[in-house]
Amino acid sequence: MADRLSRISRENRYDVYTLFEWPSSLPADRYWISPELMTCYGTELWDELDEPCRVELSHREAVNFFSVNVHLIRELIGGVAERIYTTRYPGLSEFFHDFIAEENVHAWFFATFCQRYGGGVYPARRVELGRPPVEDVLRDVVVFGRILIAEELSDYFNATMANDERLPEICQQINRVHHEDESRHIAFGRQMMRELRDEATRQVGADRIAETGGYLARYSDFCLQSLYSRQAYAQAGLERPGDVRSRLLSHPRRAELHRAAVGRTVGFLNRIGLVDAESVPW
Amino acid sequence: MADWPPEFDALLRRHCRLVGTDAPIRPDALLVTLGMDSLEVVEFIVAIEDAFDLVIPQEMLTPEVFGTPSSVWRTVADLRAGVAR
Repeated sequence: MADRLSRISRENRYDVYTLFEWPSSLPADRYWISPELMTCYGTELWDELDEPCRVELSHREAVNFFSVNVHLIRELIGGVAERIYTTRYPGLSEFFHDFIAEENVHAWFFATFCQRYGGGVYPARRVELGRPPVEDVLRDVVVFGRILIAEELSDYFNATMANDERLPEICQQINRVHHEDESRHIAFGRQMMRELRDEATRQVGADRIAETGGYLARYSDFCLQSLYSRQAYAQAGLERPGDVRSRLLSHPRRAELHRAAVGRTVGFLNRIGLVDAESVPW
Repeated sequence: MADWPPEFDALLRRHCRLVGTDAPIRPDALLVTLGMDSLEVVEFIVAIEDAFDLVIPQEMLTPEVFGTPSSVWRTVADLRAGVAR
């Protein structure tokens, strides 16, 4: 599968530096992210905001969404690069090179959008704490599980916005290009997780697999929470952005979007016995 | 002895999965041994900033600052007092 995906990747390679026509500015009166994907959609806050405020917030949430993508890509490039020449994956070096090349391109166009129209990439408010599992196979379950979860979440948003004509063309195009490339990575990621599951089942106990699955369930929640940005709320002029974030995260209507965005990934990981779907706090 | 206020104590207990409701928290205990990890610390940072109405500068988001309850609280106390670090 990896050989086939590498071949397709190389056949479809494009020059990212000439692919996009970046307008000097984007229309201030249009949404930059589909309204239905915004973090206040379906809540009382949505009803309270007038149309210009919703549009302004959509600009900030577009920048946050692309910034989140940039940070997730930085992490996944690091994880794959660490494994590119290891003896555990002797047949995958070529695919890993293509994977990193594509992800580098994605990070560039997401970051370019943020820098041109949003004042820069929002910083990742993170601290690296703790150690990865000691078992090789579980470390890889964590790395490739995180990649799959992040890519499928992003792809849900990309697929929705790829042809949303309410958005400026550059917003549609970024989402469209990313969606087209990610389909290959997702196909690979799912196959990889099946094989890692088989290896983990042979090598480590069920309790350790369950512990790692619990981490991936929490990571799904972490990715969803990263979409709720205090910085975005503050820049859109919302008062008490911390309270706004807490209120939205706990709003019952939001669980519907969360399930729509990562439910298929959690369902897949549940079916192959890695994640208990009931443990995800929607 | 812990020298932080009850609000901070409550945040620690909420975000450290391995700490009981009433068990004392050693100021020099490693946060990772109390159940904090790279995922939970993100919400811990947000909760601190909301509770104490401050912003932890990006350069302070380090494993050293978030090493122990004591090191986190010292940082929060300094930020509240306007002490440059």
